[in-house]
Parts: sequence; structure tokens; C-alpha cells
Amino acid sequence: MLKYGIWLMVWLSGAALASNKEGEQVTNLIFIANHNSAIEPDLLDVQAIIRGDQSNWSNGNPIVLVLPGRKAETYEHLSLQMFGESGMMMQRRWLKLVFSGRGNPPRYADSEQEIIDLILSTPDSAAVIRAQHASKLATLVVREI
Amino acid sequence: MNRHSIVTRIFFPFALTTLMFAIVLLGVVPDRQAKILAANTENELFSIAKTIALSVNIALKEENLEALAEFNSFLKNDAHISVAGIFVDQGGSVELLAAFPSEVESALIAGVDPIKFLVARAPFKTKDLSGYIEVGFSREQFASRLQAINLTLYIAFIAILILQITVYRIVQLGVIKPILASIKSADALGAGHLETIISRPSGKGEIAQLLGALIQLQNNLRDRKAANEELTRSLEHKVLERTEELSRALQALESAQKTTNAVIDSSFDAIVLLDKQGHIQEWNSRAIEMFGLSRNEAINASMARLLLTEQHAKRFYLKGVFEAASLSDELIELTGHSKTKGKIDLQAFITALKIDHTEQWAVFLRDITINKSIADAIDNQRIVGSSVLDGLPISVSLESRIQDHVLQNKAYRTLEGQGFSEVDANRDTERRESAWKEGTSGPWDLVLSNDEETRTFIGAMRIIEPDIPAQERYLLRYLVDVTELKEQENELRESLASKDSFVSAITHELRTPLHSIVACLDLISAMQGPNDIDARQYVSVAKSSSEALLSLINELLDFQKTVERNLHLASDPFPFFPLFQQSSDMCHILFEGTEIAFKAEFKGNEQLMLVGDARRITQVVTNIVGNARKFTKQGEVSMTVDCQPHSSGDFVLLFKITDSGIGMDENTLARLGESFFQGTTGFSREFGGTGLGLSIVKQILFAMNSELVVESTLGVGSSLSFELRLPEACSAEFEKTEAIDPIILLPPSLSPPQLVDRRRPLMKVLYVEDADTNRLVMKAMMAKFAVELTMAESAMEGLKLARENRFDLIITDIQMPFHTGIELRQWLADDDDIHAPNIIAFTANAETTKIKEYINIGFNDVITKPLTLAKFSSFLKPYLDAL
Repeated sequence: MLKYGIWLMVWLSGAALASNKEGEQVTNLIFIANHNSAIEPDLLDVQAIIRGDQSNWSNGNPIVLVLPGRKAETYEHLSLQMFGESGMMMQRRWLKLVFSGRGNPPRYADSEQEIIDLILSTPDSAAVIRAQHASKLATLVVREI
Repeated sequence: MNRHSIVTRIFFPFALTTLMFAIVLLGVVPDRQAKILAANTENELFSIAKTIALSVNIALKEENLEALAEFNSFLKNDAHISVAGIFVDQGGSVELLAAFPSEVESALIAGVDPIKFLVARAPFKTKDLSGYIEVGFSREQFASRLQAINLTLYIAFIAILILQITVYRIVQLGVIKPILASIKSADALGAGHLETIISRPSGKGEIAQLLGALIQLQNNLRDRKAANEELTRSLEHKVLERTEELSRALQALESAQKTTNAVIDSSFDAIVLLDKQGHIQEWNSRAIEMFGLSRNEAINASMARLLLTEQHAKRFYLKGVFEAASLSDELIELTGHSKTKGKIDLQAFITALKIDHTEQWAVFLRDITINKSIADAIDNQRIVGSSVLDGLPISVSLESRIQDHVLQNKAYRTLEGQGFSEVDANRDTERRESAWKEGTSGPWDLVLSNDEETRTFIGAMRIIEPDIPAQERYLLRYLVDVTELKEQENELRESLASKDSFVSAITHELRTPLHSIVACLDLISAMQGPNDIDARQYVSVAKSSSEALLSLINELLDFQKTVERNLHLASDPFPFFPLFQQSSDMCHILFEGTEIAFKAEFKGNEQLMLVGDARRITQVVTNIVGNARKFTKQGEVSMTVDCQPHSSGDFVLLFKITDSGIGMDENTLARLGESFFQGTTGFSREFGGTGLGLSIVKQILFAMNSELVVESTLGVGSSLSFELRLPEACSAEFEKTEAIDPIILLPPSLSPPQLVDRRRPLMKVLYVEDADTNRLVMKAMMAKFAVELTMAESAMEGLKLARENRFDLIITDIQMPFHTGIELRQWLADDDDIHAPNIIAFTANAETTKIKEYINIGFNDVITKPLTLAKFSSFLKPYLDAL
């Protein structure tokens, strides 16, 4: 039984994230989170969470960020789309954040399904997945980025 | 410092040990500690760096940052490292990937500074990334940690130092000091200082034993020394004692000699030392002064030369005097000769002295010339005083507490010689005690008697206080024999009493027939018709003559009383202004039908209530005004009364009566007020009266503590004044005050009262009277009223009639033969069967005191003789109205 209500925020990809330098096709991403805060984060909050700049929810609970691992299909794609850099650089970023004590250690998942499962099973967790997987989240509220 | 001394030998090992501890704990150990700590720290840092490297490997290979996060938590909370950095190879160069804590990131870009930190490095290598981990520990922190460790060493050293000092101190106190003290004490004892204090420590150690032995030695030495000193002192003391004894003996001898000389020289007596032949051997200062001879002149001279009479001189030549003198304790009186004073009286005491087989005679001489003169003078005075006292007609004695009789005069001695004494001896003792206590006693009357006669005395006692304090007090007692005087006084009193009773009886007897005359004339006057003009004139003359005679008798009675000093003044509250008005009204009547104007004026408070004898004041005023009327033919008579408050709270009334009459010359003024005196010859004939008026006035005023002041000029007029000082009546007395009964003066033309009212029931009256004429008069008077009269001639008959009848009124004469009216009243009162509601006294004695006396006895009322119809009518009216 989930202690927290789960909502899914999907941010429709905006102009800032609409395309990358290589001109790859931009995939719509959604931000999902297992958290029952009444205050829904806006776009800036979502970016801060993903980049490790915000490590706690508004009620003080630590945010458990679920990131795609090296084996995940979206490892590089999402790294590029979310951070504008490679998956390796994303991992180094998070190594730096954790070592220096500024970020909670993120969880790595090998697939988007695994991400969703982790989100569903981990309170105060958050992650970014591709929008087409939103149909699998019937019980979640999805916000388009 | 002596290197062989015990102090040096014990101190140096302690000091050396302490120094060694200092080198080890403060030098060697801290350095070693620093090195070990640095090595340990570097090892620890390296381990940490290795662990971090492992964590990074895991994080990168396993994609698990949990371990790194936990290590981060460890670094933050538990590890004592200061900084840590992850450095990665970046194409030949090294770049800082992450820093802990994040704040030092910029400082770690070039790596951890080995100057500021102890640094350890551990490499790591993964598939994608290689580099190393550097961990730094702040050298400041390292120094602090080292300092903390070294602080423990310092504390340990200080503790060791304190322990060393304490041990040394214990050794010093327990061993060094006693040993040093023993050495010092032994040195001192050796030097002979036996009083050196040697303290023996407690316990039985060797040092204590050593000091004990020293103390024993000291005690032995002290005992020896004390014994020596005692011996020395004893010897010195004996020497001193002997010396002092000798010195004291010498001083005593000198002192005795000086004292003897001083005593002899300063003696009050002249002291002369004679040899066996009577030649002077010693001659003191007093002797020089007494005889006017210097010591040189006197020494070896014969004492007999200095004695005036041959007889006295011979006494000193006679061997027997000297021989007897040694046994004699008597004073010998001698007459001597002084070179400066001439003849001197001497008192001598001679005593024999035998010193060192040499016989001498000491003569003590005192100049008694002055004493003898004083004694002679006192003797003379005593003789004169005794003569004076003996010549006195009174008995005088002087007594002291110690000695009963110091002095008695001849009269006193005679009294005692004749055996006169008081019957009650205790009374005399009481008087004496009273005099000693109070200072005076008496005067008192006393009766002394012997076997033959009794005599009366007046005596008194008085204490004579001495002029000099503490001198004895004396009791002066004197007795005056008044036996003859008392007898004369008694005779005189008896004579006066018989004269008074004679005058009283005469006046009483005069009033009684006068009563009949006045009453009869009144009755005749009432019976006469309007046409009996001549008869009416004759009756009028007879009535006025009777009244004049009555007035004369009243004046005589008044005078009699004032002369006897039996004048009793009433002391009743009365309102003064009404009294003044009443007196004024009475005086106005005196001037009716004359050419003399009478004026009366009052100044003062008209509401004033005073206390005094109102009747006597009226009497004085009317007498003086009457007198003025008598000696004034025309002009004016005025009376003023000025009433003013006195500072004492009383009121002063100044009465002044002035007339424009004939006045008086000096001779008449001087004799004014003498009894029966009435100015110049012929006054009595011309002006009438007894001449007693002013005399009575003066007596009454005297009784009221006042006097009559008379000023007069012959042919011009007179002024008589007097002052009365009366107290104001208090409010309580107001309530008792009765209104002054107005005195009704019936003018001659006034008709008698309505006499008989036939409509009324008859009042039953019993009249008891021994005089036939009075009964006749009463019967005639009673006939005028609605009265049924019964008469009795004696008290007994009156009692009998009262028992048989019921009378409304019983009138009885007072003075009756056999039984008086007073006795009759008592009988009537004692008999319950007799109805006698009103018993009236009828008397010729009109004195107020008598009237009060009768009322007090129990009479319901009093009527006085003579009785007129008008007076009787007024008297009967209330009784008749009550029926």
C-alpha cells in the first residue's frame, strides 16, 4: 500500500528543450514523481530537481531521483535532453554532487519500466521518462514537459 | 652551600629526579608523540583516501552512489579529516572532479596544499575514468590534537613536581628540620643557653630519641643552674634584709626624732622639759609664743621665774610637787607672766620622765586666758538671764531631749516645789511630743493642782532651733497662771448673762402688754363710727405711740443681740435687684407728705443672684435712710447702689446715702455710732429715737466684714456709705430661692379686711394663754372672723380640751407657767387620739432664729406679738380658705 499519493507531472517539452545541437528528433518527456505534496512543482522546480540543485521536497523529505543507467535505452538520449551532455558526464555530475554532500544519491534503472517500478515502489521518488510510456501510468498523473 | 650538609645531600637527588622528569615529559616524549601522531594520522588519511577511491570505483562501475553517499556522511560526521578531493586524469592533466566539503572546491583545484594539511593520496581507475583521491588533515587541527596530548604530559609533570616537593617537604619537616633543631639546641646548650626551647616530636623514632636526650640534658642543666641561682639569691636576700633592717632602724630613729620635735614644736600646748632642779632644758615654739621668751632666753632659766604668784612658784621648788606629779593626772591652774602679754592664766599638766637613769619633768602648759574670760562672761550673762527669768510672772522652763531641765525660772521652780501637777500626766507627754515634732504646741488651757488648791494656766511650748546646724534643740515651755483672770471672766460672763436675760425678759414682758394695747386700739378703731373724730384722733395718737414704743423695744432687742455678738447672719441666695426695689419702696413711704425728695438708683446686673442676709441688708439701708430723713428738713435724700464684680468672683455692692440735712461737726462725727448718742444736746427731744440706729447698723456691718464710712459738713449735709462683698449664688441655689415676701405696709386709712363671712362654716379654734388680757384681746379679735373659739388658761387645760374636741386650729402661747406651749405641742403630737392638724406658736419673741426654732420643733406656723387685726386677718385667711 502506498503511503503517498502518486502523481505524475508531464511537462510538454518547451522551446528550451525542443531540440539539441545534433538535430536529433526531440522526444516528449514527462516528469513523474511519487509524492503527495499539495503544491505541484513548476517547470523550474522540475529542472532544479533533475539537475540536483533541489534535493528536498517542499515538506523537507529528500528527493530520490531515479536516473537511466548505462544499459538503459534512453541513457544517452535522456542525458543529452535533460542535461545537454553525455551519460558519462551526467554520472560524473551526480558523483560530484553526492561526494561534495550537495545531492542525495540517485538510483539508476536499466529501463523505463524499471524507472516506473522504482517510482511506484519508492516514496518521494522522481524521474523523467518518455511521454509514450505515460499510457502505462494509468494511475499516475502525468505532466508533459 | 656546603655540599656535605644534610640539606644538600637530600635536596640534590630530589632536584635531579625532577629535572629528569622534566626532560623526559617536556622534551623527549612530546617530540616522539608528535612523530607517532603524524604517522598515525597519515596512515589514517591514506586509509580514508583508499576507501574513497573504492567508493568511487563502486559508484562508477556499479552505478551505485549509495556507498559514496554513506562515505560522505562518514566524512561529515565521524572522520577527522579536513578536506578531500577526487582528481581525474583529463588528457594528461589532472582535474578536480569533486571536493569535500563543497566550500573548498576552489581551493582544491590545484590539489590539497601540503603546507596547510597533512596529505594522503590513493589512486583509482575504472573503465572510463582514472585519477586519485587526496585527503587532507589540517595541520592546525593536528597541532591542537598534539597540544592536547602534550597538555596531559605537562599535567603529569606538574603532578610529579608537586609530589616531589611534597615528599621533600615531608622529609624536610620530619627529618631535616628536627635534625637541624637538635644540632642547634645542642650548640645552644653547649654555649650555655639553657632556656633554649627544644621541641620534642611525637613518636619514638631516632630523632625523637635524640631530642628527648637533649631535653633531658637541658633539664639537668637547668636544675643545676636553678639550684645555683637559688643559693645566690638566698645569700643576696639575706644581705639585703640585713641592710634594709639597719636602714629602716636608722630612718625610724630619725623620723621619730623629727616627729617628736615636730609634735613638740607644733603642739597646741607649750611643752617645757625641766631637770630635777626645775631648770628649763627644752622650750618649744608654743612656749616661745606664750611667754615671749626665745629658746636661748629660756634654756637653763628657772621655771619658777615665769610663774606670777609666789605660791605657784614655790610649787615648782617643792620637791613634793615633782614627786607627786608623776602620779598625778590632774590639771593644775596657774597664773604665769608673759613678756609680751603680761599676766596669763595657765593650765598645766606635769609628768615625770626617767630616761637613762636621768630624771626629768615634762610640763605641758595651755593658755586659758581667753577661755576663762569667756566663761566668766557667760557666767555673768547666765546670772543676769536667770535674774530676768526669775523676775517674770510666768513659769518658764527650758528642756532638752537629753536633759529634762536645762533651765527653770523661779516661778516654775516654785510651782514644782509646791507639788503642782496635771491630773492627766499623759497629756503633758503628748504635748511635748507634739512640740518636738511640729515645732510648737499650744496655747492650751491646763489645770494644775496639789493637795491644797487647783489653779488654771494657759501654756504653750516652742522648739528653739539652734543657729548652728547639728547643735542640740531646746524645748521652751511657759505657763501663765490665769486662775484669777478666769474667775473674773466667769464673774463677768455671769453678770452679762444675767443682764442679758434681764433685758430679754423685760423686752419680752414689755411686748406682751404692748400686744394687748395695740390689739385693743385696733379693735376700738374698728368699732368707731365715722363721726367719732376726736376719739379717732386719740386712738390714732395712742396707736402711733404704741408703735413707737414697739419700735423702741425692737431696737433694744436688736442692739442687745449685736452687743452679745449673737448676731447670726443668714446665708441664703436672693435676687438683689428686687431687694433694692423693695427697700427703695419702703424708703419712699418715709418721705411721703414731706418737702424732701427721695431718689434711688441702681447700677449693675438686675438679674444677679447673691448669697447673704437680705433682711439685715434691708435693715441697714432703711436705718440709714431713716436717719437721713430724720435730720433733713428739705432738699433731697438719695440712695445709690453700685454693683460690680470682684476679681475673686464675688460681687462688691457700694451703698451710698446722701442727704442735704443739717450735717455734723467733727465732734459729732467722732462719736457717731456710740450707743444712745444722738448728736448735740436736745437732738433726742427734737428728732426722737433711741440713738441706737447707727450703732446697730455698725454692728451689723461689722458682722458682715464691712464698716460705715461717714462724710459730713455741718449745715451742708452728710454722706454715709458702706461696701458689701457677697458671693454669687450658684444655679443649684437658685432653685432653693424663695421669692422675698413683700412687706405690706398698711396706710392708716386702709380698712381692716373683710372679717366675718357668715356663709362659711365656722372654724374651730383652741387658744391656750395664761394672760387674761391676751385671752380677752384674742376673743375680741376672733369675734371678727368665722371662728368658734375655745380658750384654755394653761397647757394642761388645753390638752384636756383637745382630747374632748376636734379643733381645726390650736394657737398656744409659748411662755406659760408650769408647762410651756412647746410641751403642749409635744403632748398633742404624741396622742394619736387627738385631732390637731394645725398647731400655731404665739410668742412675743419675734427673733428669726426663734421662729425657725419653733418651726423645727414641729409647730405648723408662728405668729408674733403684738398682733393687729390686719396681721391676724392675713394669718387666718389660708386656714379659713382651707375649710
